[in-house]
Amino acid sequence: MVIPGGMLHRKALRDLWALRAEVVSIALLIASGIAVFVMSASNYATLLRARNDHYAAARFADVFVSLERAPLAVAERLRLIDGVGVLEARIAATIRIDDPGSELPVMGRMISLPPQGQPALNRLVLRSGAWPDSSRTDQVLVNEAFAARRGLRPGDSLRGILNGRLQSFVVSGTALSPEFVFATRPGDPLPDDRHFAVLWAPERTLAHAFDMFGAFNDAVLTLAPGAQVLRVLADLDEALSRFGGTGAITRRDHVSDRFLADELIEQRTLAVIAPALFFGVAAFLLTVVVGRLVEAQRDQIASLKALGFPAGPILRHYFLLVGTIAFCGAGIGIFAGHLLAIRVVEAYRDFFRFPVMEHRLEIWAVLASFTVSLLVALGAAMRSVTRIVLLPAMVAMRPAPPQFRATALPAGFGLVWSTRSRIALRGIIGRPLRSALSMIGVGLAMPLIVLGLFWFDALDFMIDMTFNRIQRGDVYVGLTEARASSALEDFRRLEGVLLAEGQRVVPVMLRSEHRTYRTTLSGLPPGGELNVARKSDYTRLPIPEEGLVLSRRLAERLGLRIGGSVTVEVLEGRRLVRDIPLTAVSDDVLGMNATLSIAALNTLLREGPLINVVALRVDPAQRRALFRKLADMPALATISSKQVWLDLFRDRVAGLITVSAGVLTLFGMLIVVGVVYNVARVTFHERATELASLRILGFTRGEVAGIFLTELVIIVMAGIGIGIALSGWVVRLLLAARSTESFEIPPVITTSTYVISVLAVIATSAFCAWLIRKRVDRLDLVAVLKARE
Amino acid sequence: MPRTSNAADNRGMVASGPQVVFRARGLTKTYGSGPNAVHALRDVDLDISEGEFIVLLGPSGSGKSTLLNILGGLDAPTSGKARFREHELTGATEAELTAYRREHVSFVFQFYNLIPSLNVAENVRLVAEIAADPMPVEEAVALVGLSPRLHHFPSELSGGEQQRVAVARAIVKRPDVLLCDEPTGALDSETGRLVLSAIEKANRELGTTTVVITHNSVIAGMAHRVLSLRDGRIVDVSINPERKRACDLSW
Repeated sequence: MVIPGGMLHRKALRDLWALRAEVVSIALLIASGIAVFVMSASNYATLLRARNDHYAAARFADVFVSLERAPLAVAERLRLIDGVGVLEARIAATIRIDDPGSELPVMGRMISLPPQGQPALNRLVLRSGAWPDSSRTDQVLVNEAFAARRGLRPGDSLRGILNGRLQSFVVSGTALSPEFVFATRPGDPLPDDRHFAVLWAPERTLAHAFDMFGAFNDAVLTLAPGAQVLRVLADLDEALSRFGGTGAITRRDHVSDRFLADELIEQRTLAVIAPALFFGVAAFLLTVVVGRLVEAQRDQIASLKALGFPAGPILRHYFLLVGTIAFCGAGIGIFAGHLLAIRVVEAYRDFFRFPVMEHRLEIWAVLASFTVSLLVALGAAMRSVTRIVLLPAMVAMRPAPPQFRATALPAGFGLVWSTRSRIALRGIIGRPLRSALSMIGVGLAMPLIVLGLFWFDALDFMIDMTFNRIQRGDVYVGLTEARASSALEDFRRLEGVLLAEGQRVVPVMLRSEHRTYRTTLSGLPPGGELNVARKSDYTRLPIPEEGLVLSRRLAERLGLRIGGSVTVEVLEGRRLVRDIPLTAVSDDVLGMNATLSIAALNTLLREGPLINVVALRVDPAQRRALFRKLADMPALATISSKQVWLDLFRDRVAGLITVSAGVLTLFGMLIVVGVVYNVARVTFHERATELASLRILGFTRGEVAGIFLTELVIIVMAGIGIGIALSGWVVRLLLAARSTESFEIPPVITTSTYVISVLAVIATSAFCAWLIRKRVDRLDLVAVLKARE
Repeated sequence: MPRTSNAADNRGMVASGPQVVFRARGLTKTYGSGPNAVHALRDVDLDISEGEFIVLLGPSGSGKSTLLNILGGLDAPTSGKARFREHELTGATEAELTAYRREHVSFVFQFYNLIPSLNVAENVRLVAEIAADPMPVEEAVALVGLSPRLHHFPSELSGGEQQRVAVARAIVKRPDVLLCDEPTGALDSETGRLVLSAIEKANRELGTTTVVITHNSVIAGMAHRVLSLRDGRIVDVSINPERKRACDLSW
């Protein structure tokens, strides 16, 4: 017996060839979605694997705690705390790297190594050279990122200022640490490898420089299985309260780990939302094209059925047709996604320092790609195919029922619309479902383009808000210890300083019922110019004399409303605890900030008018000279410059954004091509006879194209309208999904972004219209005279 | 037994009559080349006078449609000349042919080809909008006897009614020439007569030069002159001394 599928398969191949333009555009659309999915899923898996492997191999600590100074015997006591696994006491200090060539002072974090070299926790991965000779005090390991940026090799020398004393070191080697996968100094938003170094030296070196023999000021530990985290943290804080402990933190509050976690969330978001968008549109297009194909082959299907073909093989035939498209699309997408992922992982290497970060094509992502594409495609095809296949053969042989009836059309059109535009309008109304889907299809393309361009707006907005309106100082100087506010005068006298304001900043734990958050509490001068809290309309929020101001997100996280009370636990000095009412909420873009008037904070700390941070506005022309003078001032712990932050932002983030904006815009335009071109093709095929008749009756090519394209114009315009409405919504959805603790991206979309997106849609549609217009010009007039409708 | 046609015969018929509007000489149309070439028209000469009603008879593939298409400015002959009044149709550009159709010619198709999304009045108005001196839309519709159906859509009309709308659409711009390709081919005889009446009316009342293609020889009775085609040649020309009214035809 002959299998009835044989000839049908040949027919499927020929149908594919006949519909190649549609097939290619739909396959590309599926490919776009799959590419984004495969890329994001692979990146997610790559990052996750690199992190987990690194953390496991290096025995990354679970808890971190800093203190002023404690005898080593205290470490023994800490080890006895219930729930503590392995604990390593060490000496860690902020130092300055001597580099006369650098505009901004280069800061460093120096961490002690135990006598045996390799620490028990946060083990280092030696990348070049050797471990420092523990009998000497002039050898250090340098973190690979800084060494690479500065061109340092083993044997090179490096000078550091430790506790005010200049000291020369020889680089014995370079290393990676799980603590500094994302190497950033506290307070900086992005890693700054040029101005921040991590140095590891034998314990003796640090003990000597910081007078810490027999003592430690930093500890890292793992949790024992089944440990109660909060309990351990509380016990640690309790044990270290007499030794200036600044509060134990978990990985969640660890800068490097938090940033990694954010990036993982981001990739996961991207892996879900973008492909969903693409698949939605691809499914729609498949429905339209397959619907048209099936409709056009109505009589063929009917004769097949009349000849005794059961519904099964016919259904299989169309599913094979659609499945082939989906399969090819998925294949192209997997390949493209794989290439994209390799590129992105290359970019990650500069950002995240892992010993091993190998991109691997994830088999599950490949399988998922094929499965999802096929399901979407089959689902889309199912409706139109089954509808016809299930018809009795005789019904199917007759053409589809007519669509236009006088009663079905709204009256009064004649007053507004010309006869020609009525054809377009009724074309749209006559097929309400398809028209609506087309509009939505175009509408879905807009948010993609907007999503790409939006990052520029968001970045500009964040930079403007953060650096021009909130943190308005050009330079922030951290003092090693709190000093009388009269010390401001020393800064005001410096040439190039236009304005100097003192701030008091202390680490705190905020508590509200069971919720806690560790942050810094800033005491600001009321009416100060250089740090201004902002209301939701971004006007100045005056700092109340009494009472706390929290960033909106922080207040929400703590479940607080204005008037509610927060327990503030100061994590240094006498570790005072106070309940303070929340009097206002500020709208900050970056960070979770807690602010108090400086006088109130001084009172809370039971101290006089002290400051430990100085914000400066400086004359740009004298910036360089000023930095040199600042570097010479004693008792400066940190210096950060707004300019350097901005450069970092632009350097690192803008590059990534430009690439993703380009990719998303391209994909968005691909969707427009997919939708507009396919709708135009389908409409054109349905109207070919009609249009050719008009040409015969004396309508010019331009007029006929005009009648035909008016419908497209209406669809595109309506789609743009939908797109504008959707854009804001999609942007908010994406931002909500990726919302991380480090910073919240504001959903600001500028008019120019909308204008560019609209122009991109119009340009793409015009291109499709031009392609179809050529078909209108080539209409075969003679054939029409004999053609059946 | 058909007479062999010759150029002198065709021209001679109308030499003393009203002004000649169409003049074709040596029209030849060949599709393809070499041994597979199909000769749709072979060296046809033809003159048509103003107001004349001509029926082209012939089996499929005889060349009648090709001839009509060339006269209508839809197709170009492989060789030979065709001229409408002062318009040279052979060698004209696409834009010139479009202008020629727009200003002078109307068509009625076998399958009506109305715009399904426009109602009767709108279908007719659509063409009136591109005409220099159209008749009122209602008048054109009244001429084909469809005034009560002015606001119906094509899908709500019978085939005959649709074809009458097509005739109304064709005559609304007061064309000089009305070309009809098997206008009753898809209709039963009763409906066909109504359509032919409408075409006849346009010819008699408006003086529109009319060419009708058919393979129904009964319709030939309506014509001033009947041209029979076979294998791309005019093989017979007959003149009806007395034209029949459309309503008197039966088949």
